Amino acid sequence: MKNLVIAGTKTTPSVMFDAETGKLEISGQSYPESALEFYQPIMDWLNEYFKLRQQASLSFRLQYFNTSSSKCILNILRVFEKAYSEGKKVEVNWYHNEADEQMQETGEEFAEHLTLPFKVISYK
Amino acid sequence: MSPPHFDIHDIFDFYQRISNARVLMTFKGAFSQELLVQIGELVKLQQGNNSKVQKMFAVFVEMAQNILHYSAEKEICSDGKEVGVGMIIIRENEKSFAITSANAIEKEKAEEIERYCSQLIAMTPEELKAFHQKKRLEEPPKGSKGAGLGLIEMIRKSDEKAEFLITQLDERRSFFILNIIIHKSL
Repeated sequence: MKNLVIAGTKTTPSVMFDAETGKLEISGQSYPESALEFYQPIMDWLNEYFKLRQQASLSFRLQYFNTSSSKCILNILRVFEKAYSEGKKVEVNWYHNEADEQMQETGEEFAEHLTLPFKVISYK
Repeated sequence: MSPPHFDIHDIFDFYQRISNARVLMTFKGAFSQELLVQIGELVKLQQGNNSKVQKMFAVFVEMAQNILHYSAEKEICSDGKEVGVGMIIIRENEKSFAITSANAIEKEKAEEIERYCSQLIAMTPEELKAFHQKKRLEEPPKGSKGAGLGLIEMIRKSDEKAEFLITQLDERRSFFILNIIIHKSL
């Protein structure tokens, strides 16, 4: 299985999914004209990945995303939640700037609905 | 050649009016994605980048993308894409910023938007949070090009009760104005 690497732009995050190590990272900003369109290949890759693999560690390092991206992020998290409920070893790390309370709260709000290991981590 | 009913004296009045209203930034026209990105950058450049400006930026993006996708006044851009026309205006006073969007909507949507806004504005922050969580889990509403969460998010971000106004524009369209307040102090 190929890695998924998408370079970031001003309005779309950088995506670095390593199929070998299971280390997946989404970082940057996300407010494309059509979030559904941008996130579809990511959803496809993840669905394929969990057919083949048993573990994954996903990190979010986002500075800003709009509401339609937030819906897509939730969809990604639901793929992970499903993998977790099937007994796979998954975890999510939600990184936010120490000063960015909004991003911290947003992470916590996502976590409220999930049972998988979800850490909200601040950085300087 | 000047457009009708708007001559050089009107420009003077216009300048005075936007000065008195303490307008920081305004744009009226077709909100393409490329353009809204640039204006968003401009707002950050003008106001600096602190948590309040970040909040204002988030509201700006939701307003601009709502206009882009849902305005009932359309324009064809240079690249051939059809985008919505509207206006966003950012004002300030000593204590707060006001960010306001204004655009045409389809007349048939007016009643539904009116009901939805009234319902959201009447909610407490806790109710808004719960409603947002619930809506995010649901399938997007019919006709939505995003998540149908923009209005909830904007109203949640308002530090005072958000205000809106819907009025008749012409035979087939209404006009929708939404005002969000962001306090300058923490």
